[in-house]
Amino acid sequence: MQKSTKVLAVLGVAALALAGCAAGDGGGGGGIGADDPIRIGASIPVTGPLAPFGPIIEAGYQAAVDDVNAAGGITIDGTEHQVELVILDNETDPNKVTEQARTLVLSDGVVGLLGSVTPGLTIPAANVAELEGVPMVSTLTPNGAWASGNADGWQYAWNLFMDEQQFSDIAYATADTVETNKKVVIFADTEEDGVATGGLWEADAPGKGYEIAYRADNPAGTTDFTNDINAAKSAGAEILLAILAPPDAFALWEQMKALDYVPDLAFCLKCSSTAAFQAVLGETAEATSNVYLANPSDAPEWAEVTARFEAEYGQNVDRSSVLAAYSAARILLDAIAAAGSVDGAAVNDAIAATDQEYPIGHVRFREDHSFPADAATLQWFGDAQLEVFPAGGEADLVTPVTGLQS
Amino acid sequence: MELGVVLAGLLTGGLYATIGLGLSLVFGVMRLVNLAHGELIVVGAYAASLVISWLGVDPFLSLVLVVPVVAALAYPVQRYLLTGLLRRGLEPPLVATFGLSLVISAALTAIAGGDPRKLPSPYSAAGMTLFGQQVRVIDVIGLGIGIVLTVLVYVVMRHTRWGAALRAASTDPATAGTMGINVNAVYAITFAASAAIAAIGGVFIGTAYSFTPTSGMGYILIGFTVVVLGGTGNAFGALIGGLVLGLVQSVGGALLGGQYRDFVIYAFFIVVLAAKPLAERGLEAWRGRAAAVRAEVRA
Repeated sequence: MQKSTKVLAVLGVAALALAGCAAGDGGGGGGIGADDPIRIGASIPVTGPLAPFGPIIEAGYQAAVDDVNAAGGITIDGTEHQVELVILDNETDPNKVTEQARTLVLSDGVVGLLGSVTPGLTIPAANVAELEGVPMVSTLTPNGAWASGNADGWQYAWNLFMDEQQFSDIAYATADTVETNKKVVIFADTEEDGVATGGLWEADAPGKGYEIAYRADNPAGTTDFTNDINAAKSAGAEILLAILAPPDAFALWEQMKALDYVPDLAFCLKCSSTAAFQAVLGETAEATSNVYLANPSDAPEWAEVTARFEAEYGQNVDRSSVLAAYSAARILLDAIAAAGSVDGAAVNDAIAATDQEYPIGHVRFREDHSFPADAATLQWFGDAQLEVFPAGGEADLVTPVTGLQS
Repeated sequence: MELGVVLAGLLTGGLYATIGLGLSLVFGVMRLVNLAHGELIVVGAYAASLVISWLGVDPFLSLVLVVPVVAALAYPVQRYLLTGLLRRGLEPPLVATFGLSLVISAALTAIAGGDPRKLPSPYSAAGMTLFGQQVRVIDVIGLGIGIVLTVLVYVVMRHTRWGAALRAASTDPATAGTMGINVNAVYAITFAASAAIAAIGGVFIGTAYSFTPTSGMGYILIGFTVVVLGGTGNAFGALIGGLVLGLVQSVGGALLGGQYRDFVIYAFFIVVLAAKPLAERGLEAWRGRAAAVRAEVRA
């Protein structure tokens, strides 16, 4: 009796060990059963301060999966497999991303990861991708902060978005087209991207002929900006550069209006990077600027996709974001198809070889695994965001920020 | 120090007082730490959003429906869940309210989604001049709400039969029960009143700022700080605690920079926590000595 118990125990341990190996094999990229779907997954913010991005990212990823499935799925070893998308809500909590990315790889058996938004939520998942040898394609995360997330250089992680330098170059170049006193106020939050971009704006200002009249750094979640607005007013800053979480920016914009502070030009990065900015603020959002992805590729093969999203989201950042998410997912899925395998290394090699037009542009990754998409200055006009810089865009730049006028 | 900085702090303090008042009431009467108070605030904001979308009324007019509905929802939670748990000690209701906060947050996300919302009003972006300073109209309304609620709670607690019953149930529930006071009902009404105050705070927050299903957590931290600063079960204590917190936050932010705003609040919170017992002991000792001296003089 005792002997049989021992045998059972040994068998049990062996079974568990094998199960563990199988899970690890699936995560790192091994074989796939004939009837199994190919799973890809992402940990994204469906709730919390960055919740406005969650449904947009998910819609882009899901649309890419649906389009691939509608075309017959992905063929691996002569068998067509449907693709399944697994989404987990990280509640805008970076601490949850690592755990969820590990769950996706080790429990859900995803063979590729997709990104979130902002470096804080994307980098933890990229670290899991590196550790588990699972390729990951992300977007909506500035390239510089993303690249600095791994000092040794990313092996399995890839990112397609804008460089922080574009935020600075384009914002100041846009300001050059307006007659101002060249005094700038910076409102940045203390998140990674706020610190990085705020620092870049401040460092670049003298070289571009601008003076930082006042800089307000506040933790995410700040709702009262009265003192900072009064200081910016006193300093006579006519150009406002902000990088804040959307709820903080809603408060800032309404308080600026109430306190009669109307800059000539006001950029709101990250904060006005979803249509929620205009939906919540209404007329107060009018003529607020943003440096964001330029209009999508006009390649005929993506015209239907662009039109589909434009019908759903309108002509604004949400359309650009959903197309960016769609592009990231398509790059991953196309790489799996090109590799003809779900093996992590093979898929990773296929991503590295990407040289193709996607809605976000013609994607060819740089050595640091990032792709810099074209950026432009967009301004809110009603519920649409139109390109106003570079010159010759869809509309002329409007000054001052009319939405802030009482 | 500029007057504008002080004014901004005091105006924000009105909201903080409202947040702390409900928490203080429940803790003062039942020794219940309601970790779901932040979510009750958010429920108030969502309920107002619903009423506004139905009836198209002003956010503060929506309170006519929102306050009784939120209070009515809160009453059975205390009556049939938390009161029973309170008999088993302080931890079970603490865990239960934490669970409630998660449930409410998840339910709101499922029903309303995670997008930030705002209650539309013409005065949320309107300004006015106060003591020569440009301020937001909505912030002045917030301070007004904080003061009115404080006075209302004080009057009810001190000058009504229900207030007397509440104080009796709070001081000695067993004896209060033998005197014919329905302690369970008093507890439930207190919790409902606290939820109603939270809902009013929620409507104000929804009008002045924005809200999501997970906004409650930030407000409960503010509420606890107010309660610690102002003391429990004391309406004016919550008002003073709220105003002091707003002032410390505003002055601290102006002196050290906005990035230290939270640091200043919680450093102040820790200092008060550490110093309050010492100050109370010192005050007690001083009173003792004063009484002894008076007795000696009389002798």
